[in-house]
Amino acid sequence: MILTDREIKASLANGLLVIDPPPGDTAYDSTTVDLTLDQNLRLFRPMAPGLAAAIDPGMPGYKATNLIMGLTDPFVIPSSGWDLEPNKLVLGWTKERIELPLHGRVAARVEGKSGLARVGLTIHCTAPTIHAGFEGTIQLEIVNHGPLPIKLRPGVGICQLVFEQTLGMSSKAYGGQFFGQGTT
Amino acid sequence: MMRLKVENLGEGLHPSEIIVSVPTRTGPEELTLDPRSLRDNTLTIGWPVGADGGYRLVELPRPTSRGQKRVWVKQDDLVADDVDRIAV
Repeated sequence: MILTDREIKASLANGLLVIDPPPGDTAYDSTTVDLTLDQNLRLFRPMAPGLAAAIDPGMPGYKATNLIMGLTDPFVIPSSGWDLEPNKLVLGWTKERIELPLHGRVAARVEGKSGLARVGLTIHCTAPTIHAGFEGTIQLEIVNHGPLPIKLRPGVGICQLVFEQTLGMSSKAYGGQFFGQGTT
Repeated sequence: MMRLKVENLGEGLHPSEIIVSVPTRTGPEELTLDPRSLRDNTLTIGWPVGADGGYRLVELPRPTSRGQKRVWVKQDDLVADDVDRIAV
């Protein structure tokens, strides 16, 4: 069941959801709320031909952060904006911090915005789920699939959240039956 | 609810993130967190969802870098959280 704007606002008022800073009135529509782009990005460095090695996410001890830090540089978008060239990936974050408390019985999906999609901008790579219990800003994998550069500005509405009520609570919220137990 | 002992590895890719190491039965897993999720080098994980000897199956608030959401951890690495938050 998807939460409407009224239910999202009621959940925020009751502490069943947290969005900080709180969205303004124009950020809502009937079933979503818009989030905005933070000024901090990570830009991938150009790879020298022949130097790129394959990424192995399944390798034991795989450390994505070190890898990505080695492949990217931090970048602060100026207030005048910054052009994302076609066929480029950058990492971005929402300005808003989200909390989905376990007792809130709510999960969420982060989705792109149609106006941005029409010019080729996507904001996630098939990983839209925000699980119950999540706390933090939302990382975005921003790609320009269009033919022209797209200007990114801090504070622009970059994505939207769809909140879905869960049917009951998950095992991790439901009791301590496994804490003192010996085997499954 | 329970909290899991983790090791703070430092800042993440964005000022709003830190990186921690989660000790699991199969080795350490890297996890990105909101700094406010970390308290005394512990992370809230709700209740364990499974048990096997001295290990407990816990669900992390986000996937690790390798995509693991539920991991086996030592029971000794779990500490009690505020019991007033137990869901009913």
